[in-house]
Amino acid sequence: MTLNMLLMLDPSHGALLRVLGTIERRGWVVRDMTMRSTDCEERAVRIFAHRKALHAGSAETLMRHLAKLICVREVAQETQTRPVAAATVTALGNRTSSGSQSPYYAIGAV
Amino acid sequence: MTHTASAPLAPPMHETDRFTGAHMLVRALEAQGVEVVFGYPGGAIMPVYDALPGSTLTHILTRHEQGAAFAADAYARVTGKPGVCLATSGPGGTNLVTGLANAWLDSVPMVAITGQVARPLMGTDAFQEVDIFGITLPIVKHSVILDDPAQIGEVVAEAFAIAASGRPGPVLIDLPKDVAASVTVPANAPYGEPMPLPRADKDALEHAADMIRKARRPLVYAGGGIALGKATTALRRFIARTSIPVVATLKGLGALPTDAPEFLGMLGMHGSKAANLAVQNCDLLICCGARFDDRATGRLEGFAPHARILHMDGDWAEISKLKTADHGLVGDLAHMLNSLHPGALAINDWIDDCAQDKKNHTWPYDAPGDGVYAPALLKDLSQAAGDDLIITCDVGQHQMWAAQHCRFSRPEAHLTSGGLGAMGYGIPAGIGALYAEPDAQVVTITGDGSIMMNLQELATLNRYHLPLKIVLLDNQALGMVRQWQELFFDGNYSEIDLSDNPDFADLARAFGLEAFTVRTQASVPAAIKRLLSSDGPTLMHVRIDPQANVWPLVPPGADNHQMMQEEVTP
Ligand SMILES: Cc1ncc(C[n+]2csc(CCOP(=O)(O)OP(=O)(O)O)c2C)c(N)n1
Ligand SMILES: [Mg+2]
Repeated sequence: MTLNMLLMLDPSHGALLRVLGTIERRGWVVRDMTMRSTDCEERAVRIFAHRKALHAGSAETLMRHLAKLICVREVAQETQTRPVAAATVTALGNRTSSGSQSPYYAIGAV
Repeated sequence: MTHTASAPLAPPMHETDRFTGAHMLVRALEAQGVEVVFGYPGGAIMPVYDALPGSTLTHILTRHEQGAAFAADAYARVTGKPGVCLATSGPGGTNLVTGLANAWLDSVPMVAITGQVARPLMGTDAFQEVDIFGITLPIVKHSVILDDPAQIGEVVAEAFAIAASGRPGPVLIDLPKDVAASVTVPANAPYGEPMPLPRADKDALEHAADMIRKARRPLVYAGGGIALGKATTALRRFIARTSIPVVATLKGLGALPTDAPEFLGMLGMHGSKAANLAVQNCDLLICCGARFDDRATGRLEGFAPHARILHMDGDWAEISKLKTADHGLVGDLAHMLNSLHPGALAINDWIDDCAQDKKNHTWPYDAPGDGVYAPALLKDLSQAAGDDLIITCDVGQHQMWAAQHCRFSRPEAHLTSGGLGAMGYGIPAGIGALYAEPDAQVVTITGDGSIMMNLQELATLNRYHLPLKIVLLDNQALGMVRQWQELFFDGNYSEIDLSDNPDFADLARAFGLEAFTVRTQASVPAAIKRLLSSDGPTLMHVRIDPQANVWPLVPPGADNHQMMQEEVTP
């Protein structure tokens, strides 16, 4: 089984390592990858991955695990050739906005 | 978890001289409402230790960083607030690793702060430099290298919010020494508010209620998510409304009181027969905050083979991860349970069957001989201690006996290393629990192998006069490994003998504890009384049968109803 994904990442330390580590630990092999920076500091990463034989995890479960990473703003599954989102997974309990203001706290609350 | 905003903070002691990044860190911890931190100093974290005196934080010096991490973990499990631990760079950080993994696998909110070498030295293989950020990437919910002094307040606030939001977990902050030592302008620290989980929508809830209405043999499978989701009361009300029988995972114990009539026991490898039979026979499995862990399910394909699956969890990555759910609800578990009103259910026959199985398979406590029978001791101990009891466990046979035979009035009363199964958790967890609930009766159940993994923390008990009661079940062996070698490796015993153990009572006395040894069943009642009424830290060293096994046991790869039982010789 193969999976073609587009991920929008925060420009934070280790973001790429977290994503690649999660993909490999959850039973997938990265076959191809490209990355570019966007205007709003995000990094757009396109990853083509292959599920290891014998491994049970589904593509949807992998995308949910990726969406849980704090550095991941969005994960979308793409068709093979065109960057059209078939299913978009926005981080749940992660981010509510993609602006610079953290969604977790209000500065100066104390 | 929410705190109200605290009052403006008093300036730290050194503010008039110099206000450093470390002072800002301490201020940020205070702003989060942190009262206790567990830690161990060293070179790279020295600026933080310099800023501690004069703060409102109480620092507990453990005797190993692993002890600090486990104590912070237990503190968090009991209070529901993130636990905090501190360590220096290099070996300090690597000693935290097991504690971080423990918090990760058991979803415990924790903030770990490690010193790091100064920024210009990072990446040069400097003295005590390890890439703790890289080492811990797969076992933290999030981590940051705090390389900008101006960001300290925000990073700490965000770390606390992330640790406690959604499915909780550990967050690591790696703090370079020069950032901590940098002189900076005093500022108010922001407060990190955890994000509440979303609520399941009405249609999804109605569909779930309909599944329950249609079921004739529904069963609740309760996991650690009940405590994490603060859903204990909601679960109890749901069960009171519906009378649906309940089984629990190791971490779900206490979600329903052990002696509740609907409670059938722990399921899985060392679960009760009634619980495992109910899972195999149910037609609807209502999974509440559990994750189909292999210790609970046995052979996954044979788990709940006749059941539809209704899976309710705070973490949507768990839905259909291992067992496909017929219906999944994601979000605030307490809200879900409070919103489920399936009405009158036609399940009386099923309730009777479950009750009959429970009656037919009660634990036998009438062991022959004069020796101490560990299950009976644990049952009597937990009954004598009452509802204020918090039990912390190590890992091995004693851990499973505690889960099977102790009574738990709430999930926070049972602290155990469930996901990681880390020997050495028990005593430091007892320390953390005592700081979380100083009035609780905290008892650690440990084994002769496990106690040696964090024995040094007896010195911490003595230093802070912590009245932890330790029950050491000494079978002179790595008993759980011995049991598996007996049953699954043809009795080929390899490296499990601990018959050269030290005299544990003497050892405990050397650390300043009260200690005594119990050898016979007849002396158990008096020993329990002595243990529970002692004022200070006390060790009760109990000699038990080295051949005793934990029963029943679902062998690896088997279905849960294929339990092995003790062979009783007439
Ligand atoms: C840190 C760690 N190392 C190894 C193990 C594997 N292990 C699981 S149970 C066990 C034996 C524990 O012995 P003891 O504490 O005496 O408990 P008993 O089973 O005898 O009750 C071992 C070695 C583990 N769980 N944790
Ligand atoms: Mg032992």
